[in-house]
Amino acid sequence: MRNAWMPLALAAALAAGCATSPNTNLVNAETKLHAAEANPAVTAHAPVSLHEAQTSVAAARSSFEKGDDEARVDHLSYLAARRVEIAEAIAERNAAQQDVKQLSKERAGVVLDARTQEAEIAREDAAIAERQAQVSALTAAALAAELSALKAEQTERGIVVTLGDVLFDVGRAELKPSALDDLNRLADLLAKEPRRAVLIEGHTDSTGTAVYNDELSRQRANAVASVLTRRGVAPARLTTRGFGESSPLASNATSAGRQQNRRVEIVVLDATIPSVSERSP
Amino acid sequence: MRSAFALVGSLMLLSAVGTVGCSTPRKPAQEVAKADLAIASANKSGAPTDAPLELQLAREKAEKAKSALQSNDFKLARRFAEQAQVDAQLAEAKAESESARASAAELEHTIDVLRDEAERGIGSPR
Repeated sequence: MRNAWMPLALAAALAAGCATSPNTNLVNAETKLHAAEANPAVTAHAPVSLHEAQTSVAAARSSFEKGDDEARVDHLSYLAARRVEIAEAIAERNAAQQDVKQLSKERAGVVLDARTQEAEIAREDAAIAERQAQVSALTAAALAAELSALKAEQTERGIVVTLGDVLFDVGRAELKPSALDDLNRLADLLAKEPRRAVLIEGHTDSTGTAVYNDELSRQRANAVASVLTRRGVAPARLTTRGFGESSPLASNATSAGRQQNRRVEIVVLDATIPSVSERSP
Repeated sequence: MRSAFALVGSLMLLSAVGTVGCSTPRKPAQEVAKADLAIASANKSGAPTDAPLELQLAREKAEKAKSALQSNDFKLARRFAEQAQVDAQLAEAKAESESARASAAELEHTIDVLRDEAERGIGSPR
């Protein structure tokens, strides 16, 4: 019975012997397969496709070993080479899809970071606003204190500060040094409200002629304006007027009344003036 | 005598194997159908733009497979059909790979823009 297989083995040996010259397509498929097998991306991301390619290359090799005709080996080698390329393409696809998943997570993280940061900024803004509110409350309190020190009154026209006649010598328009404290305080106040216009109105009692009193009241108003100007208040904000004896606060019949009537009123108007740069030439 | 009988028997077996292997191949209708399916699937992916060469090759081979089928050259028809199928599969895999890469690149860009905006957001006055 052993003898019975002899001719078959002989035939196979003969067939194999005829096909010893290498098939370039098979070699090409095998080279491609080896490259794919050495590529960690392929082994990691396309193991199933790589296995199919390996099976396909092995089939082409076995067909060649069996001595199949060249066209069949070529065909099987073509299929094998294509399956290696498919495995590589699928590996790239899977790797890229994995990247997409990873990047999507990353993007979500960045968006979250941005939101967190926005929340942080909003919190900081709120804190700043609160501090500013505290500061302006303090400023308002300070302003109120200043105004009360100046014996200022809030009237319909605005804040009115009255400088009494003790600040001027009788019949003179020069301010006494004792007036300067009040005027410095007023200049500071005006610096905090740089857009508000200021009226400076001089008044006298009825002693002396009306013409003289008009002139004296105007000069006293101008004296106050020039001190404020020297303290940095823009002259454009200041308007001076002399009312003379025409607007008494009290009766001129008593000395106390006359003293009340001799005064300079400084009115910080609620109305604002245009800033210097906005004004047309 | 016994060995001569065995020789005749084995020769007969050999010729029978040869006959089955070569002269009566099955009609490869299934292979041609698979090739057409693979081409249709590749057409729906980005293959027409991303892997036009492979897709064109698949189409041409599928046509040749059908011609061979009509001329009753089943062996040739089967080979063309099988090759058309792998060509189409490769076209589709390449297209999918390209599209996934593009998505990844776009995401990277988006992340860069977001990071950039976030960084500029810190310094800019609001």
